[in-house]
Amino acid sequence: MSFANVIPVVAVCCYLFLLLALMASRKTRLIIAFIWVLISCVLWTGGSFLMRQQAVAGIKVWYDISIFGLLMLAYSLLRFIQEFAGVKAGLFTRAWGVFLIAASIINTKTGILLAAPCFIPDETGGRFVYTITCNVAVLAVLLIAIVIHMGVVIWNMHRKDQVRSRTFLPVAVGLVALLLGHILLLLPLFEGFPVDVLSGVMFVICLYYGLYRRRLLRLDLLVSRGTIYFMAAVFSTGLFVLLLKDLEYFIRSNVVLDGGYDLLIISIAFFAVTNIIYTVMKRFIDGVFIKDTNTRAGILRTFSTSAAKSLDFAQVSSQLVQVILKSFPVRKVYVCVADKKDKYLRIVDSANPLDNRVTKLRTNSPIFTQLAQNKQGECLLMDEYRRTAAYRSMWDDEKKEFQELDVACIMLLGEGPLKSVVLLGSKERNARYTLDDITFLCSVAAIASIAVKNAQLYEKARLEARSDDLTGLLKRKYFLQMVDAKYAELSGQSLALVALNIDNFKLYNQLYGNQEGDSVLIQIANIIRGSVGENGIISRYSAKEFAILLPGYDLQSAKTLAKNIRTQIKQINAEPDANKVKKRPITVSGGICAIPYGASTTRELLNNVDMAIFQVKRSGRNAIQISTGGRIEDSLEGLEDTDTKHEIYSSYASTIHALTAAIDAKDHYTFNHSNNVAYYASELALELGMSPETAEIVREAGLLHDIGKIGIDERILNKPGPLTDEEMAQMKEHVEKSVSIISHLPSLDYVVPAVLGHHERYDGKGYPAGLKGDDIPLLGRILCVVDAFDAMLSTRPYKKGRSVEEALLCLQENSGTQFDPKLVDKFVALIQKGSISVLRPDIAS
Amino acid sequence: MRFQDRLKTTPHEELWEEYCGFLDYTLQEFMLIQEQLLLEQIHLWSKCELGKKLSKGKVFSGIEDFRKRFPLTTYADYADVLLLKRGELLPDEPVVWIQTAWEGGKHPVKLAPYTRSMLNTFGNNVMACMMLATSTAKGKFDIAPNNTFLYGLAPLPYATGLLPRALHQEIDLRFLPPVTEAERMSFSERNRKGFRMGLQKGIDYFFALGSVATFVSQSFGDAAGKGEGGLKSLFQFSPRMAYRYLRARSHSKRENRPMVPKDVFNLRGFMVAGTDNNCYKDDLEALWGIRPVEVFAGTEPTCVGVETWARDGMYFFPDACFYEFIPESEFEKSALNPAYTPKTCLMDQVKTGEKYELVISVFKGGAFMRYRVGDIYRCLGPSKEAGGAYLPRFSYIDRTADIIDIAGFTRISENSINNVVRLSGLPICNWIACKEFTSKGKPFLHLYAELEADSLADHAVSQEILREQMSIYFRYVDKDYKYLMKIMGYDPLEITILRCGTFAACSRTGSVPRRMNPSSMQIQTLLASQQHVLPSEDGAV
Repeated sequence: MSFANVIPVVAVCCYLFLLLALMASRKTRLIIAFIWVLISCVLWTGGSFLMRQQAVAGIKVWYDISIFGLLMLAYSLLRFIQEFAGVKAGLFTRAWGVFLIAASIINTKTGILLAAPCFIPDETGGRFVYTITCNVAVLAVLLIAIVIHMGVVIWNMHRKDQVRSRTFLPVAVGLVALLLGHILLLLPLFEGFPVDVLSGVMFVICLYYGLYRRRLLRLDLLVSRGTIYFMAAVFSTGLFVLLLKDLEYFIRSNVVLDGGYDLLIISIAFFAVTNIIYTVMKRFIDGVFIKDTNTRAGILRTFSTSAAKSLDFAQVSSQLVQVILKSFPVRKVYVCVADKKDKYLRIVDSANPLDNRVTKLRTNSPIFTQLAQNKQGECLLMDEYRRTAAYRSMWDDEKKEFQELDVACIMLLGEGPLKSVVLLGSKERNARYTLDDITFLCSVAAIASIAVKNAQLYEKARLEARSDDLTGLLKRKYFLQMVDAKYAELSGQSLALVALNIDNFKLYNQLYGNQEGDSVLIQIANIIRGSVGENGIISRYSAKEFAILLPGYDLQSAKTLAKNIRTQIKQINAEPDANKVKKRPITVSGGICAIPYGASTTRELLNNVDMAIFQVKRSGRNAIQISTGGRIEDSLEGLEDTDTKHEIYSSYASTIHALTAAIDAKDHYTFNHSNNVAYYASELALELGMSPETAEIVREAGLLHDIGKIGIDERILNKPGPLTDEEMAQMKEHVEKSVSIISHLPSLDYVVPAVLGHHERYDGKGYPAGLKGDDIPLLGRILCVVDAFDAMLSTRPYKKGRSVEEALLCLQENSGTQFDPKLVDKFVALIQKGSISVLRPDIAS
Repeated sequence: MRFQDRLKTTPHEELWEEYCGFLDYTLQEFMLIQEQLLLEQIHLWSKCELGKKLSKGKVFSGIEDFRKRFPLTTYADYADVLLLKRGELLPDEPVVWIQTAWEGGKHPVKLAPYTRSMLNTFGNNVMACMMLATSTAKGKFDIAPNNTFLYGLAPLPYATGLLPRALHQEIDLRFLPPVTEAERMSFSERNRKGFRMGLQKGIDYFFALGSVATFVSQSFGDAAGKGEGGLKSLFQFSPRMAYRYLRARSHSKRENRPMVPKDVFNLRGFMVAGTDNNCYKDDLEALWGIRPVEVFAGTEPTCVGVETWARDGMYFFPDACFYEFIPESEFEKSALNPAYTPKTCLMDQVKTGEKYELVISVFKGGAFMRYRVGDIYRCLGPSKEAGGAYLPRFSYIDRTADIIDIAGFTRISENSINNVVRLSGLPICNWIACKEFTSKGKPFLHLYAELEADSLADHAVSQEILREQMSIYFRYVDKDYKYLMKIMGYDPLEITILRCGTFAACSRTGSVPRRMNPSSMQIQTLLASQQHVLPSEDGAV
């Protein structure tokens, strides 16, 4: 086979190869138009080649196919250009199609336009001779008209749409090559050489590149395993067709090889050559076309492995930034994480430590809403986003922030609520993110999402294990570890420790309930957190004690900070609460020590602080003591309050007496009942191990618990029959009335929680607040039990008094529902044992 | 990057999507933009002194709360701050102050501040107007740098003067005459020179008030024949324009008709603004060969809406202002009782066929919140053919009843008519005025006047005298009025003298018509009342 014959074979193979590759792509109208161009080329070149080879079916058939292909090439090329320019096929285009098909049919039937050539053999092997008549002008005119039409389309596209016009450049080069190929054919130099076919190959390659530039095709479509196998098979077949005779001759002439195995040898050789061609081609194409893809795949593998091993968020985010920097020509990459309230995204990592990390982005910004709505892992490109409705709804400040950060692409990590995103800057020379980039980023996001989620979960679990549930501060155990670690890290530099112990916190809980106590703990933790910031490590050191480790602080700075915190804590209950109840003020006793001024080891540091607090407690609480070298400083902070503190439980007998006298004047029963309740309650409190001061508080609360009945109609108080709903509602108001009266006496405000809680039920069905279990202040629960006990023993106009046994039985029956079971058990036991005397209900204790 | 640079780098589809993509928004998407940007505006506005003053220190929890607790406003609410250009009291620093007439206000002019962000949005929306004005179908627009633009609107400091400046930020266009030159010229000089230059260089885009465009287009033939496009001038023409001009001249001679612009020019885009454009669109289409696209803009609201290639109703831009609509029944109630606070509805609540008064809150640091612009629109509903499959279209009806706007050129208020009556010294004791249209659909001011009975014996008060006298004083009171006759080619004032005692007779029936723009029913009742005048009322001697 001559070289001139090889070229058409290669051209047809090339067309078929592209055709095969295109079949795997998404078919747009433009791609379909290109497929028709390729089919036309196959018909034209293939038909022409087979005609020259005088293949089976005869010259006429292959000639007609070739001419049909050529005419259809003109039409399909016009359609391709129109699609490229975004122009719809109009009447003219359809007319060209009809004319070309008609011309082809007429010529096939009659040969009137250009008849099939005759083969005239000669000494060079023979040649084809065409008989050209003036009728050929019809075809020429038709083709020229179509070419002019193409020119008009191209010119309009160039005039109106410069963007399309630029991407059209490779197609234009292809067209020029095609034209040139046909012109060169006329030169004697190229006689016998199929330069037109060669230009056809160049032409379709240019078209393919044009589509690639329009981002309608990917280059790696060309390198699928199937297409390479196909090409290898075609090449080896072609090779064997060319060399078969020589090979056969070689085998037969070679004595060693000849033995009737020639077919076997040729088969093995064919198989081996095909595989070699396949391997070489694959390596070559991999190297040329998918080098970047392979590099990225390698990066992805490495990232996947390392990210899977790490549970440290900072490490994962740093790896993520590096992966992006290695894979893309970008300068800016930011990893952003939502803050605790999920209100803002804050930048936690970036490509350069000098990058802006101050900007915070609203999580409810339309851009992130849009991102969250995207399909899983799909990135959001700013260029595209700018054309959406959501972009128009963005606030100007947000737009400026994204502009300042130079964000070109946003990648969501994880699913569900927005937790973390990666912002990618513009690519160098403002290149756009391609389809391949997006695909790669999706893979990165998928790997990073899992890694980030794991790291965040681990971080959360680690924090939860180290932190106190209520306040979020470090637990004692981890705090002590931190003390040792910081001591080792600072090696000789100053390290201060402040500890703050809440005064009378147990009493506070008893007075106002555990819920209120917890609220105070949270407030104090927030005050300390706000004051210390990033300068120290804070711990909930014990149930009612906070510790602050201050690296680099001396005693003076630590003292200033501690004073500041103490002042803020004192303000906690400065104002009455929502119920206008003024609660006990919160005070703290604190100790301060620092290495190297007052201690040289961490153990010493901790001990000295403990000693300082102990000293403050002994001296009357509500002060801060600085410990230096084991010696307690003289200057106690806040001792000015001490005198008043000692008298906190002083008797307000005269006030209480006045109030009880008032109730006595109105309702003698209530007066007696209150006295009895006061007695039972204080006895029970003492038996429960409470301090005499607390017992005194509960006694006073008992005396005043029904003081609100002053405001209830006597007819209701002494009504012989059952109360109506309305009367019952009025009766229930006595609790709030009691509180209202007591609240006017600031000195007695500490009894309010007990009074307020004495009609609450343990199961939460009581009134006025419907508190439940331990949320009811302990003193209130005590009053509840003893109030019911005394009431049951009393004979009233509407009921007869019960016996002690009946009353105790009733208490036990309602234990756990109405009453605190522990208190009932204790009280019943005490009554039964006689530790608490039973009083006659009609006689005051 | 400027629009003209983006033409080289960004596919046309993407540019269309970016500027005109709002036409494809759903109502939900449209409302999302409105709500988000109003929240931004409330955020900015509630921090500034003007905001604090007008909201009386209230803090708004959201849009509903804002609409519920913040009253509707008029220019008088802002006058003390804006007329003194107290930029430091506003939500954002103004870059430019735009001026317009304050009809019936305490001062002759109103000033409106434009911030940088507002100007950016204005620029984008003006580009969208340009694209839509040149479009023949969705996505098809025809804009290129260095095209020529005949601009027939007032220069800065009027809002219309912003458009060339905003366009210049995006694309190099050759304004005819150049903007800086035009700003120094009178109205007629500008138009004359513009057309002369147009004949030399061609005209690609034309933007004017509908009335002005009609006037200058109709006088094109005369101007061209009087030497401005004469044969002597042909040497100044580009070869293309010279060929077109000669061809047009020959056609018009052959057909024995004056030369019209479409004979010479091949417009790419044609825009009109102002009121009463419906009277002129057919004429303009006949004169230029393409139907103009109507653009809706104003001093306070900026550029708020535009028609599409279908030229069949306008769509509001989602990012210029927050739009509220007062239904007809509500604005009528409000007109009768100024203390009444009319209810408003939003874009997703308007009903097809209903009339609404527009209320705007300007976005991007604008000063006006819940501001009654004084324009009435009719909702036409969505139309896929017109461009927006989901958004309601609107057609501009007119100004609110208290203002009579003739051809977008002059705005006459009750106050200005009172002034004219007072200055003219004519013995008019009662009057009503309304805008009416001629049989050819051209607008005019119709004044129904009742004269003082006692003066009739001593004064010459024929209809002609009244009209001439009042015209003189209208021209005195309103500077733009003098152009009206010139532009419209007829006297836009019509006077009907009512029998003495008509108003008294009418009031006996219990239906006294409002002075400005009463309903046709009220006018009929007034005219019919002439039959029921009591002898003691008509002053008969």
